[in-house]
Amino acid sequence: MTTTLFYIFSTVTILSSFFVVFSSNPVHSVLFLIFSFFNVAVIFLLSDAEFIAMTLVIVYVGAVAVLFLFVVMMLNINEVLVKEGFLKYFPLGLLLMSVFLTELIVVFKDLEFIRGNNSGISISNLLDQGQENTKSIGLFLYTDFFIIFQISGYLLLVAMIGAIVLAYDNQLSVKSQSILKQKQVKKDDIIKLK
Amino acid sequence: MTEYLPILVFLILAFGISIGAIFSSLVVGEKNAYADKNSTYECGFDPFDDSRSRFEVKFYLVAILFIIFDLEIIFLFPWAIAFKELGLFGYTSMMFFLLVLTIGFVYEWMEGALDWN
Repeated sequence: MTTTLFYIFSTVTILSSFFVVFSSNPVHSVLFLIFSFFNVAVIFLLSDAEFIAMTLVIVYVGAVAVLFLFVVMMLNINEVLVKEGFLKYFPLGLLLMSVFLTELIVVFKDLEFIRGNNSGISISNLLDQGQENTKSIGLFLYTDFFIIFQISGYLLLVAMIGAIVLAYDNQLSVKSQSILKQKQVKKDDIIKLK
Repeated sequence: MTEYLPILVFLILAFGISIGAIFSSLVVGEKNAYADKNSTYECGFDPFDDSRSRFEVKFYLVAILFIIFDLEIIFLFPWAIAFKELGLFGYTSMMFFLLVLTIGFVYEWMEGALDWN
């Protein structure tokens, strides 16, 4: 049952990822990306990684995909122009692809970094405790890995301030309504009888 | 694993109903297409320009700020589940994290990035 479901959802994931790359309309590719996010979430569920599955749905589908849609809409891409550059950038893309592929192979060939025990905690130990996935993350993230946790907090703070500094402009919104001023206006200020 | 079975059933039903609706209307529905019927009518005119026009960056800013608080909530989930075992250190750790993000929240509030004029 689980194996069959895995094969179904992984096939759909691969297919929709192909459509992300090859569909001519950028908005369609973003929608296919959302679809493949959902499928990957199901695959995570099948491998008992429930927390990551829910995170994928909440963060990636709920928020990041919206940003992708915004970017696609803002960029105002000419579809013909995009297709023109394909052959020109193909060698560079091939190079990058091979670099990333080699990186993945090197990392996953040598899985010792997962089993390796440098902090007294290993993945197999975590799973052997027979706790729920989310709980075992919670038990270690906030105590043993609290520095990483705090750093991620600072990262979010920097992202927040950076977004405001870059995108928000006080002078941009000149025409604003001041309710206080509106309420203080008297009849004599506006109407003059001569 | 079995607790996700209802979602699977729901998924299959949703796929079945939506595909069934499309296909049955394709098969059963009467089709007589002609040029006038297929053209833009009633609501008027051909579009002036591309639907993908530029809009203000404010919308994007709201989305970014939403993502940051979304991630904050994601960090709260495992903490809430493991709360009883975590003890004082885990509690303080999360409170400090929330404090850091609250500083950012106060900053954006004071800056007026949350106002919509």
